[in-house]
Amino acid sequence: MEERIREIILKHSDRDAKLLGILHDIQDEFGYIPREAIDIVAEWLSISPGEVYDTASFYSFFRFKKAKHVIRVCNGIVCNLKGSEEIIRAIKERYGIKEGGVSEDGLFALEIVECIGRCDGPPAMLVDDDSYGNLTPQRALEILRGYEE
Amino acid sequence: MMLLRDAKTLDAYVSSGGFSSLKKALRMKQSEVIKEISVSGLVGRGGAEFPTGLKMKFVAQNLSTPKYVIANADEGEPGTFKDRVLMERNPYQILEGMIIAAYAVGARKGFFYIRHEYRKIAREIEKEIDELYSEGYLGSNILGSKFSFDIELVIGAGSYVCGEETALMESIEGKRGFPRIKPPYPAQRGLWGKPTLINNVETLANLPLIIELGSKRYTELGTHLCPGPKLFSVSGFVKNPGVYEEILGKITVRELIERAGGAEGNLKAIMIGGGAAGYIVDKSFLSMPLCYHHARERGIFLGTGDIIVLNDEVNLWKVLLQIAKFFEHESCGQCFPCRYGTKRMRELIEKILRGEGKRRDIERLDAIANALKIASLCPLGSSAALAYESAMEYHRDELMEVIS
Ligand SMILES: Cc1cc2nc3c(=O)[nH]c(=O)nc-3n(C[C@H](O)[C@H](O)[C@H](O)COP(=O)(O)O)c2cc1C
Ligand code: SF4
Ligand code: FES
Repeated sequence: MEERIREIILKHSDRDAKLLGILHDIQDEFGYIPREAIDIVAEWLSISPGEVYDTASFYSFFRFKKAKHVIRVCNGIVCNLKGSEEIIRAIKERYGIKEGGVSEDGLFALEIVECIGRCDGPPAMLVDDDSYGNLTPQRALEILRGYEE
Repeated sequence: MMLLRDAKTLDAYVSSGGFSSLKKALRMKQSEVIKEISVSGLVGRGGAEFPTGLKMKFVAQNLSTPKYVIANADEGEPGTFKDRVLMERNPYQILEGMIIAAYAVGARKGFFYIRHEYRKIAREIEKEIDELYSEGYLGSNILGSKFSFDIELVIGAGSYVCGEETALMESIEGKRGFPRIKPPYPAQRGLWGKPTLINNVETLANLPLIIELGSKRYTELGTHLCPGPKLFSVSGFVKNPGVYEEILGKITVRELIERAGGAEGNLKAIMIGGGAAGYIVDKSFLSMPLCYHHARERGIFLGTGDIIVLNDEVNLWKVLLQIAKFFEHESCGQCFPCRYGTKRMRELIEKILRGEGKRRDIERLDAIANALKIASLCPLGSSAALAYESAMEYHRDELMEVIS
């Protein structure tokens, strides 16, 4: 892991805006921000681990628990008016996850998020980087089935 | 269509006249470019409506170096998706605008800050930036001139307040997104304490247009009070939600909703300006021409240019609860009135929705709204009161029906 994190940090060495980009790449690589990563990043950027953690924990996108896929269901104002709560309920029931939790098999994390900028097709969700709109509970579950293997 | 034209590849963009404005700008003096932008009357499309030319002048006149330009593609306001559609359909026009802005203010380095919810688009923008380097539109001696400029892409990490300009700069610097106290303004001390021009991506996409048409022809678009095109995000209970490009002042709220296929069900209320930091008004606003001036005359702001249509099935207290939850969640917690006020607001609205609302609770909400407006450090806190206060102004009878 250390080796991989070093490579990521080096990739950002010629950039002015480093920390966010490094954290993004680490999360892409491991599916979350491992504890050890914070220490290594801190050492290389010559700041304290506390400062790295401070930044990482401020942003809701960075996760400290591992999950293979992250579902982000929009519960913003427009999606809420168009039935996002039903989508959330269906996903919770199907995978036995709570808001902010991870399914027992580690496959899905569920997050309820604010507007994801797709209010022209509500209700909407993101699965990792892919966005899906005009959802019904059935359609949402069908889409998630595609991520199961 | 001047902003929403489809030019997804560099070839398509260049063959429809793309980058001719940059060429033209590079032959002009920097002060002439800024003058054109100032005379055009362009104001920022990110919500604050500040004159773009004036902001550029402040940065240009600041002799401290290096200077920075930031494109704000954080688009966090609920109900707003116009920047996303603009980036999907016409990304090069934003980048061209950014390069022109950098030339005008004397910046050598720029940052394109985009929210992580748009990661797929971010990857495209990254490729487009690389392409501009290899074609000589970015890097050293752009198009054979003495001007050099680099762009770095930064992806956000899920925080609404990071769209606020000073919080965004903290974020680029690798810190928590806490807004800074202003002044100093970014033009004085911005990113890493250096003079910084920050603009919304839609604002930047207007710059090539102004240089191409000339400020005179640009101002002839729109009314003499509000020139130029504007993107509107129309959503909620309408038949065809989407982004519509209109000339400011030339279309009313009613006409725009009709362009979006008309309301679904009976229109009861309209949310204008943003799905959180916006106003909940009534049908009397249907006849309002959509421009900054007319909005201000009626006591509201166009903000990011959102129209969310609410029909008579919508419970306005539920809408206010969603908005209150939003602000409670997105408050950065740095100052007390905002951290505590947004939480109290949510609790009181929940109480009202349980059917336990009393007149005292309305008085409390009014007091919180007032405190938020006068005591917040950044506009997030003060805007948390807008929806509640406007709903109370325009839909008081309905809201008071459940209060005993
Ligand atoms: C809480 C908050 C969030 C904001 N979010 C955004 C945003 O997502 N995009 C944006 O362009 N401006 C946003 N702004 C406005 C910026 O602070 C700034 O005014 C804008 O980027 C300036 O660009 P403009 O003059 O081109 O509009 C936000 C402001 C506040 C207070
Ligand atoms: S008003 Fe709210 S969001 Fe703005 S600085 Fe204060 S606590 Fe943070
Ligand atoms: S409210 Fe869900 S995408 Fe905007």
